[in-house]
Amino acid sequence: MSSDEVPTVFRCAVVSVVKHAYVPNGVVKHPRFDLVVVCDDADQPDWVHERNQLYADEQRIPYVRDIQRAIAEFDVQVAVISSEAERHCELAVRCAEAGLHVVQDKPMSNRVSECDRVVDAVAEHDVRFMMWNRNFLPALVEAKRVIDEGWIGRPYAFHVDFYFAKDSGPAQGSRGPDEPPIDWLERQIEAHSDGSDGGVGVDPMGELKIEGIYPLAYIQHLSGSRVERVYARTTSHFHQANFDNDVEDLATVTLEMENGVIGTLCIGRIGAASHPDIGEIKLHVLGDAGGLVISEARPEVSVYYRNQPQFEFRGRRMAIDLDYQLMDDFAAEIDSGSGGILDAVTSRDIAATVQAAVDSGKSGRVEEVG
Amino acid sequence: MLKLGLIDTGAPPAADWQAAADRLADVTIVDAEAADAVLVAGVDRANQSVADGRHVLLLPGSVADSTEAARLETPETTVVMLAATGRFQPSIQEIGAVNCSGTLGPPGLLRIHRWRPGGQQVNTSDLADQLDLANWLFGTLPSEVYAVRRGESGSYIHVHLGFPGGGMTLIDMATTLPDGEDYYCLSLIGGDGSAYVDDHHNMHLLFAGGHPEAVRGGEGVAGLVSLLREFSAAVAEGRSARPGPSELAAALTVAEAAERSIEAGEPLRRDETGDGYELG
Repeated sequence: MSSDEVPTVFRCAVVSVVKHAYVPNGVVKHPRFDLVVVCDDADQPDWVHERNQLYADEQRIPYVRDIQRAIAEFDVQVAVISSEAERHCELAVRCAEAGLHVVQDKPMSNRVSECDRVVDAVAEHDVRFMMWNRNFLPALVEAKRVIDEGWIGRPYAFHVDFYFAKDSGPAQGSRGPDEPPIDWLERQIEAHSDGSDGGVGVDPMGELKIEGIYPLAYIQHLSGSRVERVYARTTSHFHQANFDNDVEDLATVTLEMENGVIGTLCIGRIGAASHPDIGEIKLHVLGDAGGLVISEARPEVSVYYRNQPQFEFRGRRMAIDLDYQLMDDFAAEIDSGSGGILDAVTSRDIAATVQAAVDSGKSGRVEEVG
Repeated sequence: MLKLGLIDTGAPPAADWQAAADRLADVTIVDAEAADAVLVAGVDRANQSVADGRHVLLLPGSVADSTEAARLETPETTVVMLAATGRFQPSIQEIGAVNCSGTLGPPGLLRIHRWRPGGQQVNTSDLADQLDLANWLFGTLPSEVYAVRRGESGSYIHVHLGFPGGGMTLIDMATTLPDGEDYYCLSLIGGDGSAYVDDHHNMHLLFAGGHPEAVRGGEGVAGLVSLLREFSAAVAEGRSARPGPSELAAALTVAEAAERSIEAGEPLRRDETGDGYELG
């Protein structure tokens, strides 16, 4: 599509929406993007169709159980993919092959080989790709500005704490000796009601795979450096589902990056009792002429009142312009044919970093990022 | 009444030690000649003081390595305590208390940022002070140690520890801040809760034009008061005090493992004897 053929408003197909719907809901915060159809493959299980249908009904758009037909009949230019993680890349490749630009929910995939397919497909079909991310949160925008203006000199160490103070089913140690291990998919389907189903899919995933792209994208965005070596410690410390499925809910990662830059990550789903809000999410950045400490949640307003529900957040984030800015960046990417806040290549590199961290957690060794 | 002589004082000035003693009924600061306990730097002075029959408060950072720490004389009749003010800071005491009581559940992750100005190399004894906190909060030595160093003068070090049972720790220390104040942050994530000590949380704002300045709410001499209280109690009760020489040696051993990890570019593991660390 040449630049003078770029439409003013992009017609979007929601290609499977089985998790919380923040991605398609975020897409339409920008006036240049319009959801026109929900679609999925006909052979998906009933629970997938039910969720797709529910979202279509909420948006008052059709649900079509045939992706190719939906793309053809509804004249769409953009695919918004929020399926189970293991289907993300297959759907992205098919949409890219159909000439659609792709907005994809995290994680990019649970397998790096699948990410490679997306990188190839996006390049071959000359379409744009954006992994959903949080790089335009107000605190991140401010951090980037301070660093880019040189206030701390040359930055050399980036540290991110990314804790989600959420529960995830029964606490570790709560399963009786005669009870069967928790089935991952069943647990994730059940978790949809409270929004803790970020790991929905057949293949179990730990916090590094479910949420790791957010803090790693922060580090990549602020440093511009690629990760070369990773050392990690991982454990299932909190939740029975993680323990039963041998996936971590707590991890620490050391990142050795290009140009001698160091990164570290603390990540965990640490339980709802551990923090009054979503969790302590902070960035510590050291430069050769200063340091920067950033609370990702700021600005926020604190609200307390009688009979406040126990787990209602007391701190309410303000002035969040993330959805609009992400989609504005994506629109510009489509218009110009290049750039992008988190494209396929960078997303793939982050997925490879995550995999290296998972591998290191199991091997106890430093792992090279492939 | 414990009569404490200040032969060396280290970072806290003598006035702070005096102010701390003023808050205790059973400790008084006296001339070194009249003292039955002394604050000293270095193993040789500590051993000489022990030989003179005096109890010893040993300044942190004044012992270079674990070999030197092993030379510390520790007769049963004499208390030798590390003046590790880190453990005794009110905020860290609070963390220690909720950890020890089980309020947070089993410790899972400890993170420490310690940033200072100065530009000098972060040495083993500097690192040991923070490693002692990790050993203390997890109640054991780490099973794995990995570390990296950056900066032309070695002004930045990052240490990654694994503990038996899956616990983990990240500590980074830098001396690359511009001239001015330092920064400290410690967070502990347990199975049932978490706790945060962060200078970022404890800053007041000063408006004097331009960007406001952050002014830290300090903890005064309360840390020294707690330290002296433990020391004097140990002397009065004829028991050992913590942290003592064994905790110092342990922290220095981990710090030395970190240095070896930096050289090797690989993690070290606790060896079969449990006394040291080895590659592989």
